[in-house]
Amino acid sequence: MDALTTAFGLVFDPYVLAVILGAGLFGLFVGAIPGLTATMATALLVPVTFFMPPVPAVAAIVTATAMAIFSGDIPGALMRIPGTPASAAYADEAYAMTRKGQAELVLGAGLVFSVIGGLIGTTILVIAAPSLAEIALKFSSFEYFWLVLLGLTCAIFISAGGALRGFVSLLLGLVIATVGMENPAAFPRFTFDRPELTGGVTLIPMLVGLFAVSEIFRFVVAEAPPIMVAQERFGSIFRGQGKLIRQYPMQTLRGSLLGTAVGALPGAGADIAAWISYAISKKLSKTPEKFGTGHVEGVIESGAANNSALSGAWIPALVFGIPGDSITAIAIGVLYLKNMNPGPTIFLENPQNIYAVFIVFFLAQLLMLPLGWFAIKTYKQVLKVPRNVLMPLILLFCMVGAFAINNSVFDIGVMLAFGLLGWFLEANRFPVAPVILGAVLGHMLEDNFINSMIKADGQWGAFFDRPIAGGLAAATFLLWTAPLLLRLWRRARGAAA
Amino acid sequence: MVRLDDFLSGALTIAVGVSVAIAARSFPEVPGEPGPALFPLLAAGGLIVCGIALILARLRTTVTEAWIERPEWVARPRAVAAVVWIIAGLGLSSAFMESVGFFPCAILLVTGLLALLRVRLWIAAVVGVAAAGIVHAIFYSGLRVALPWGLLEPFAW
Repeated sequence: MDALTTAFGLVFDPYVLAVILGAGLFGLFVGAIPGLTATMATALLVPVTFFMPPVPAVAAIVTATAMAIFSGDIPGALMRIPGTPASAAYADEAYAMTRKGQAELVLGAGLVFSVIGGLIGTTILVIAAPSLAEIALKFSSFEYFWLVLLGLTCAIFISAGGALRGFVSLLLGLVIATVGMENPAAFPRFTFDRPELTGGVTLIPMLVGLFAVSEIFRFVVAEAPPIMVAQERFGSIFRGQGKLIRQYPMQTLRGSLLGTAVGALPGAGADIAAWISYAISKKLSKTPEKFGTGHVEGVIESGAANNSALSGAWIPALVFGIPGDSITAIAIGVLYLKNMNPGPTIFLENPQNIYAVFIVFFLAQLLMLPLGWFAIKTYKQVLKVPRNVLMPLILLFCMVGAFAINNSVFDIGVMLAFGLLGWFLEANRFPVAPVILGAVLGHMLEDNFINSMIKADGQWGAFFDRPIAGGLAAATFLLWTAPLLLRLWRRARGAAA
Repeated sequence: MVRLDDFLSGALTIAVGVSVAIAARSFPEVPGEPGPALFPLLAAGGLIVCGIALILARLRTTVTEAWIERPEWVARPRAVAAVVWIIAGLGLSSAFMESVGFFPCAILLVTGLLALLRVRLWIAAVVGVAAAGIVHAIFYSGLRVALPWGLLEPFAW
């Protein structure tokens, strides 16, 4: 109880509240501008959070991402351009509603059901994380080894570019993780005699490069389409939302639960949650023929899913230190920087900080209602910010952010290299998220593997002896062999027919 | 960015895997324990296998694509100049910002890119100077980041 009281004190501090408000406005702005993503918002925030105490640092990330995922709906509904990939699944549907004169209804639904989805996802996070942490306390290196491997396997199979391309990206991330002296023999691997690399590739310049600089490259070579807003003035966006809540409770709950579950899978974030949720909504709808014509049902379900996915992604991140998506991969980096190392012991050693994170999650969702309303009302003004002026300013911010972590100009070069790598990978349909997952989880995988090998003393059976380790190993092998088994099953069925 | 045919993507993946493996083979062994080479070698092996799989998958398709697809923007000099400006700007800042200083690097990077993105030159220059000043105030004065003064050292505060 003391920890909870302390947590409230940590969050309801004028400085932290100001950070939450500022990060919320920043997230809304970034999400509402087409071409700037929630992941980019997080990557840009990290250099600033580096200088904050742990609670406001995490609060800034949680608030900004929740706001950005919602505000990505605004350009989707008004211009048919999703502000973030998480809104892409239902941008056509939302735009069709705007064309039917229902802009207020769809924008309001996007906001209200984002808040509901976020609140449900957060409730699950609050309930599930401590319970899982109690189980995780019994984990040894064997369980962690299999858990990381299972997580990485999920990331490959769910990745956007297909399993093979996802695997290549992941392996690149694992190779990046091997750079430096953090290995069994403390031998400098792939450091090219650069002292800056002995501690490994610094995470923040890498993230800023992959998620922000690559986006700037894409912007400067694209011929930006003229911005055409379908509607510029809005009436009340909250009118009719109560009726929608009563009309679609099942869809809201289903979207929120599915979003949380998908978010918790490593490699799958808000965008994949929204796509799956929209497809399920259409499949289970009583009126599937209305989908695509400007029907709010799919917007409600997938809008709730993408915001709940954000909370879901924090479950494995906090409990096991395994990120659920690229945003939590960045957040884990911040937690390590703040000596708030994720894992089950954090619930014992720093309960006040964990409770504070939970409170911030609830606060961010509730704050979304007034700030989201404000963002919709002022959207015309937001669009007046010229993107050709914004991008060079973001580039400057990236440069200083990369430098600021170690006061090292070398990190500017690292950021540039990763910016080019991210641009190249995306252009060639290799997903970028597995690179980050591999880079963040590589050490954990190697450490637990080596520790397990030493404990096992050459006996491979030890990797499967403990019940949870054995179960996780079985799940991992099942996932690896699933495509082959499916193919064999289809062939056998085809032959039988 | 250039788009490679999957055959070339696969070959490139194999090349990366082979390079990592060659470098990792020179790592020392640790008696009785897996050494520092084990993990890089496993990752390299994975890359080589994935590269071969990409090539095999490509050979099974009948799609005829250019080996290297030139992006359409290379025909637009302004777009090419903007890409070169960013690479040169960040690359040179990485190499020379400590001796030249933050202000010249930042102002040149922002002003040049703004101009290439069709912002009028005088506006670009004003925004460039203002942005460098604001970012310097936030990070140097506010967050105590040691942004280098370089040539402007005599005017440092």
